[in-house]
Amino acid sequence: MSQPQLSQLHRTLDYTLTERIPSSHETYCQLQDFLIDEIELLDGDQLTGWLDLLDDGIFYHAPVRITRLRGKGEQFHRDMNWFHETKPSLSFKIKRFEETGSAWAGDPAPRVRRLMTNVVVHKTDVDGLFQVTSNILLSISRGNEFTVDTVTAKRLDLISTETQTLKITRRTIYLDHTILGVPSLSFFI
Amino acid sequence: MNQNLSDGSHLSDLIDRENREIHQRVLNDDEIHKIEMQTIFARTWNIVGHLSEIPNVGDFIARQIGEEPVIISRGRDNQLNCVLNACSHRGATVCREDAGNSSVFRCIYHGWVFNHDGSFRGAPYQEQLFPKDCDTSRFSLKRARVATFCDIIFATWDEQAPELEAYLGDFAWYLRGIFGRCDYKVLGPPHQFVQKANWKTASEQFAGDAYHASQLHRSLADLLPIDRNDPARWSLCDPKVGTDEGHSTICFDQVERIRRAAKGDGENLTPLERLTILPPPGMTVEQVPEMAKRFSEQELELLSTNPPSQCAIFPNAAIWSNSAPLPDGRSFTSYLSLRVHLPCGPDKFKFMMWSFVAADASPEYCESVRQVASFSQGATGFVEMDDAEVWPGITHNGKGPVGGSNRLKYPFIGKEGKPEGWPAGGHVYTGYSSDDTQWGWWLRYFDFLEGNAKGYDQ
Repeated sequence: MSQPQLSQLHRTLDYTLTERIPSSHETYCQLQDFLIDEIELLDGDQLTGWLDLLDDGIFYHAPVRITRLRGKGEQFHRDMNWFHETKPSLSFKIKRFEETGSAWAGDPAPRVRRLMTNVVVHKTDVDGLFQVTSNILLSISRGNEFTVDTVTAKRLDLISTETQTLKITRRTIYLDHTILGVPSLSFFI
Repeated sequence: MNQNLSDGSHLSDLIDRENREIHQRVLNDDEIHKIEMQTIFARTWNIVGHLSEIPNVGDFIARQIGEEPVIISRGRDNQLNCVLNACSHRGATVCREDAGNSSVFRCIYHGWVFNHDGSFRGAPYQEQLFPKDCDTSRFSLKRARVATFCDIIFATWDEQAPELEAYLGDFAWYLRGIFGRCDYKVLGPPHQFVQKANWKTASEQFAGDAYHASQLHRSLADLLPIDRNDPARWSLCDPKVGTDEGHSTICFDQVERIRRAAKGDGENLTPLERLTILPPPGMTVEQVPEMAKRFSEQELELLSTNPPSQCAIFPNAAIWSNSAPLPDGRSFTSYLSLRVHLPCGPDKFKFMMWSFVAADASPEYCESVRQVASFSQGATGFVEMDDAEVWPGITHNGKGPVGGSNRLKYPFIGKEGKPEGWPAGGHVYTGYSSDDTQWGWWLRYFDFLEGNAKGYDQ
């Protein structure tokens, strides 16, 4: 049960998948390049630039997970998220990091390296809307600590190609952790 | 219990009661940590959950008391149970998931089966393998005492510990003043994340450290309508209450907020009118009339002007009941949460944080609470993530022979005395923020460590 019942969590979403886009397809390359560029911005601590990739109506969330035995029910909980963010809340947090000079959890900035694999692209029945899932591993190095923290997750993105530039309209982060091994999520996934 | 440490020093050397100083060593020492597990966590009442987490017969949650795993469950006849999550047979972990519903617990190792109350129910090949007339009553899982207060579930291993209400002492009124305002429920499972810090760094901070907010959280003044230079806006003028049992609260002043919410017309209001203008955290205006039935007029006066807001429940629990900013930087909602700081060795603790709403809260209100839990609180919160920046350093710096003898200082002494009409007990401190309640936390800590805790037979 590596990703249990994802579809159930998304039952409220008003889209259905129509076809898988193979990695040889131009649209696949375009979407993967977009996510690679996104990582360049995040790893490079260019958070304001990152905001520009997000749709104004984005819902960015990471559901809280609990450990269950197989077949005993949903691990991800609908009632509580780690991240439960909108564009205004993300903008506020980024402004704090970049402009106040006293956002200590982000200063010195965590050095985060994001490694993305398994990009899977589906077309949806909504015009210009693609579902892109990816695996992501974050290595987080803080200060002079000589060990790194890691966070891993599956990301489920809805990316709109309707606009001139691509925009992420929804990101759901399915963390592999029930108990987070990092002191704070002072970085984005 | 006059315990010496292996280097010859005495526990009482680590506290200077006259100058109100604590040796930093207590925040990172293997030996002291072991003593804490025995003298504190095996004896105190510990918060392990909330009744709304196990609403149905058969429901269970897996939790910790101190560092040790327990199962909390609702058995037949709605009986609450707390048992050690270690098989009585050969010690394996019996319950291996966080929550669920089950009529019994079955150990995976040899298949021994236990009832919710820990009693032995049966085992494979029992007839063939067990001695005839075997007394299986000695095969029970180890059982803790369980009690609830305002639906919060507490457990203790100590048969001799005072009843929960006596353990809470004068703090019981303040706890009821928060969790007894309405019927609350948890909103989803708790956030759980690990700090590379000693559990006491967070626990004693919650016991009244208003002082740090204007500095550690100074970025708030750049983003929110807060006057950086006004001590009142940083909770530095709010009454604090400490109790002999080591619990404490800061009663954040609401009058100014009510005046602003009422657009200047905040004078001469009844408590009910104030609560209607500014419903307490976790509640919306619809639930306020019910709250009025639960408290006297005098109690409502305090609960509508200076409600208990930031609390520490000895040893390692905390409450945050306060307004919370929304992302527009101008408007506010309210937020109620319960936290425990669970030790994982001397230099790590697990931060658990539950968010609460009234049992009949609207979906819209629940949504705002989810937003706050992510926006300003906990691991993702722009306020609390900065607290997590200081706790590891304090812990690390207590490890060495020099840093360990560094003395943490609690010199600010407040003005003690109850304002007129104060409806509850405890030592009430008014005037500018003092260290008295945090110092009270440390006194209680050393009383347990040295085996002198009031209310416990020695």
